[in-house]
Amino acid sequence: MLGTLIEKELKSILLSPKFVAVFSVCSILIILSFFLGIEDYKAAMSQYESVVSNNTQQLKKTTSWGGLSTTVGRRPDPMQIFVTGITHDVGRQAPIARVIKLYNSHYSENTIFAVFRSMDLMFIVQIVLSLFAILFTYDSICGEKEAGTLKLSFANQVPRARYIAAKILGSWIGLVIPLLIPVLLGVLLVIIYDIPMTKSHWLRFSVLMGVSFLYFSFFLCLGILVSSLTRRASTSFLYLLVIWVCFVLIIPRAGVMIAGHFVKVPTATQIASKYSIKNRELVEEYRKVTNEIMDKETAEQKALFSSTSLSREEIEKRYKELSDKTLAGIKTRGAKLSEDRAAYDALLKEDWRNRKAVREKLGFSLSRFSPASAFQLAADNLAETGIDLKYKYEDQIRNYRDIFSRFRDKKDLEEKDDYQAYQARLEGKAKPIDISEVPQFEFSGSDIDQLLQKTVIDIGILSFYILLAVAGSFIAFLRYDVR
Amino acid sequence: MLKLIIFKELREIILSTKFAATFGVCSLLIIMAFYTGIKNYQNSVEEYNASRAAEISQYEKSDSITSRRTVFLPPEPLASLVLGISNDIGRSAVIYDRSYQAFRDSTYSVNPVFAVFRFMDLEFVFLIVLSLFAILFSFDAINGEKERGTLRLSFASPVPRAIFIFGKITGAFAALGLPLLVPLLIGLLLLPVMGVTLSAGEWLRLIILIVCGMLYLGVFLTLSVFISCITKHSSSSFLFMLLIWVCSVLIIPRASALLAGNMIEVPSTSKIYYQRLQMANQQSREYLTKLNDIYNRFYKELAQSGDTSPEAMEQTQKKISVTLENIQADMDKNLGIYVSRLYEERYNRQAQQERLALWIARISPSAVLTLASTELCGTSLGLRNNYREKVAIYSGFYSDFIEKREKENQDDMQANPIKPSEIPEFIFQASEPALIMRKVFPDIAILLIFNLVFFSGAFIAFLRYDPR
Repeated sequence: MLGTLIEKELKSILLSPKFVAVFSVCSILIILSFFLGIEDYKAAMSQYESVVSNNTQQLKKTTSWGGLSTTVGRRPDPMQIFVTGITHDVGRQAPIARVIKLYNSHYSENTIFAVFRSMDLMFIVQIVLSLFAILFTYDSICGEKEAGTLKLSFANQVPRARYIAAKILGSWIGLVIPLLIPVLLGVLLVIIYDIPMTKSHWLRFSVLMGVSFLYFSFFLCLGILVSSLTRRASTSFLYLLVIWVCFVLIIPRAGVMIAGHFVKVPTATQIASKYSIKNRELVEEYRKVTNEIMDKETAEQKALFSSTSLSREEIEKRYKELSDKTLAGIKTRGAKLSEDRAAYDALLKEDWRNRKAVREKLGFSLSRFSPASAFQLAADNLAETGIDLKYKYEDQIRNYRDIFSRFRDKKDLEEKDDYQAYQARLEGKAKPIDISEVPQFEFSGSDIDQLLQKTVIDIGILSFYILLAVAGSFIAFLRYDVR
Repeated sequence: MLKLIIFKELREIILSTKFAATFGVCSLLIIMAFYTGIKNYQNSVEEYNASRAAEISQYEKSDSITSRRTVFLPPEPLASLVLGISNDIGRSAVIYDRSYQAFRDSTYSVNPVFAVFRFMDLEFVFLIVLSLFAILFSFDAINGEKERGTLRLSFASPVPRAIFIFGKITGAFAALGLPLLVPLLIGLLLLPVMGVTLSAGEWLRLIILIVCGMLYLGVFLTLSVFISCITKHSSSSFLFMLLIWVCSVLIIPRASALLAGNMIEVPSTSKIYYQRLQMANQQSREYLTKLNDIYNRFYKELAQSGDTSPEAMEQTQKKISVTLENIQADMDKNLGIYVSRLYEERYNRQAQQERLALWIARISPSAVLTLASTELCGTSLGLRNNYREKVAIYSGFYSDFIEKREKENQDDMQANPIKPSEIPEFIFQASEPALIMRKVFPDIAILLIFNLVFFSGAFIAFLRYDPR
């Protein structure tokens, strides 16, 4: 019975001209997204190679370790072919300096792409395939009622639960399996173009496909649910379209915007201004204290020099002690000033990081009311092109900066001890340094386990929504008036 | 007769529950777009003032003259309503030595949380919601009536077809467009209420933006009626309209930029820098060869002259250093010319790529609306170029000012710090209203043409339509 029902559903989907039209459009778009992603990746790789080779040339010209400076670039990840995320918004290069600033993002350099944004696989799944799912299921129950075939079906002894299960399964098989064809063709393109995909990349891609099918399944089940709750196909479609607009276009944006309004994050300028005010206070205090120390020293010096009972040697000895004490006092104050400055700077940065994290957490939590957001966050996470990309990149650059600075300082000291090299530099005959020793920067992603762990919550949300839609469809259909 | 048909259409749409639901959502979104835009603008102004104050305060603290300063892109009220590329381009630029560093700190790079889902501005609401709104109410304008049998009923009376279709389109447009003016007017009212003052030019641009929105609504409405006339079933016309909507709103604009990107390659700035380094290396090698030649030639001449006096030796050394300095100056000049040519080529190619992308994108009415609205609100691609030009001009002004002050200090033999009030102000002005209108005109014309073409299509198709 179930087999027959599934077969009927499959036939009605696959043999409809609607399927041919929509399936062709979707297939073209999926393959196009793979192709454009590959081209984009190749362009990003060429840009990265230019940055590396510029840097190498600059390093080769350097003749002194003390003057060594470098710029790092982010090696593009093949996963950006499928999910662009915020890759194009984040600066790709950063000069190694005290303050790490990323610059030269793809969108800031090639603004035309920022006008209409990219068209990656995630976009196709999130927007086009979800609409595709609705389009094939909005009339699955109420459409049959309108056509009179539902009444006809239930003239036979068909259990309602089995009928709705067959509807869901049939639609799923009829729509998901054909979509595997363009995806597989896309994968073939990736292989033909020799994109360096590792085992981990393939595994992440497979999970991404799994999440995509979960997302697609949700809209499919939602279509059947709304169709079981309405009497007319046109009403069902209207509701579904409003839900789709809310889920895909409104809630994700509104969630983050609401979080932005509720959690205020100070800007870099506000932080700098706060730091500057505090710094002025600290410096003022430092000056006051050091002046007091010096005034005290002057008074004591006066007393010392006006003393008649002390010998000249004794005065000189006490004078030296007094000077040393004053110097030590000033030095201690200076160290305290630096400590206080660093502590306040750390406090401001921590506050900024915490507020930012709270805003992001709230924004993403609110937007996760929409399965489209859950899907997007999962996809960004799996491809490592989400919000963490920027923070991770900056953190790794900071770590590299410390390694690089230590290396440079060590080499600089060694060079200063080398009299021959020093003499050669004075005579302008210094040889370029051996850059093979310079530590290299390589941006590395997270472990697959970590990524999967982070994705579990979104997979859970999507699965929960699917369960809800399936359960809802069952309950609604069991009570449905087929007449 | 025409009036009657228009009223019938108006009543049918406005009194439907479908209208109440969708109109409610649309109104809410439009008012929300205005409100969030105004709030964002107020935050941007606060941030801009704080950034400027912090930048200026460095002059109060500094005892010396600094040739570096940072300038910021001032926020514009209209730019907060239609964001365009304003969040993608860097808002600050560091000026030094008659030049400026790349623009940094774009909103999306500083706050990537907003880059994940992007913002929901007025253009987004127009683009997505108005088009869907139009489709939803007119996809079955003709074939729906045929399916229900009301079309045959209507033509049982002597109704001229031309008047019927004209009434249908006009009625639907009035039923959808006029109610939408209510939330739009509320949004406009929010601007002065929330303390945002607009100039007369800005009000005019905002009104033209709304006109563009209405024209865009008209495009999808006439197209839906047209498709409804050439298809038998309302389900088919809906499928077609949805496919057209996906292509127009989501696919064509994106594909056009990517297609143009593939057709016209623009060298990256890193690549140009690489070419510059290659050229500099080549020049260094040439310089070394010339250096040897010059030393050989001059010392040979000296040896041939037979003059071994220290004066002759010194003279030769001088000649050598002058010649080398000249060669170095020539090489620097050539390198400068070479690099500026490379940048010019990049600039030209980029302009060519942008032109091509925008013209391909104009196949889609949605892209046309995007281009018109971003142009009207000053957040189109022109914003980047305008900002770049203004910063370049200002860097010249500022360097002149610094040089003048340095000279004064040298003459006075003392260091007089710069007072914040003395610093020439960086003024960024959006393009002239006349220029904006000139740029927007083709897009408004394209929207009008789309309306006319689809209206004519619907008209002709309906004259041949079989109402049975």
